[in-house]
Amino acid sequence: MLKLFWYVGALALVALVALSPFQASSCISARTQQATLLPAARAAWPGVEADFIRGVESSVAAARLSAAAGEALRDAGREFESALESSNMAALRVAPWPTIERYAEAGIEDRLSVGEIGPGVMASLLERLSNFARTIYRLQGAE
Amino acid sequence: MSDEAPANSAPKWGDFSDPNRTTDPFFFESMLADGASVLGIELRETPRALALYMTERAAHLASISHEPGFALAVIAERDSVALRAGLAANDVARAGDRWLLGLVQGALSVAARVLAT
Repeated sequence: MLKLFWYVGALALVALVALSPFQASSCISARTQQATLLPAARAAWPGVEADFIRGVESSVAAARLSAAAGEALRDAGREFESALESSNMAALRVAPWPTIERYAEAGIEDRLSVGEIGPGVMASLLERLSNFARTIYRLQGAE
Repeated sequence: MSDEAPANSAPKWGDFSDPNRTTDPFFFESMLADGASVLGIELRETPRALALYMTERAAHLASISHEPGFALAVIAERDSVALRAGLAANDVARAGDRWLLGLVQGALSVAARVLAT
């Protein structure tokens, strides 16, 4: 019986030693990911934010969104920005990114509808939004 | 894109003196690889993958240079390259990142203009 415990203990130790490099590399990888993704996301945020604010404002103007809901969304945008700026991963993981993305898309559509941009420019803004979304999902650990 | 560019024709990174070269994917690749190396920046994707992406986006920019809001598109495409490369350009970013990102924006603008003519 004592021998069995010894074997189990030895196996557990071997497993721990074998797995620890993987755990360490996954931690380093997550840190590296944050170190490169967060600054890039911060850099691209002003453009995405402008589209998001535009989407909220146009939705309020078209009465698709109440003024109070619009203000709540702006607050959500500010909280998202604050999480990005302070590298607050906990706040970033629970940020309502899909909602922000939806209104950013609405903002881009509004720019097109009033002739401020052409369809090709719209494609560029959507491309940035898509790259930004991918970055946020990676940071949130969804990818 | 060929695997190797002739040694005597390799462009210097950030050298836009021959605008026609900016439409060559090797120009982007060389600019990103050399620039990142000199500035000590780690890119998230290979310079070649980023160069191919930049070539594609420059061609898109060239096709929309007549559209309203074109300047917004150039900035958006620069941001897209930054997001893929892991580059940052805001106030707290390293000076090297800002420098390389400025080159990316310049190269995209020049390439788009050359391709559009």
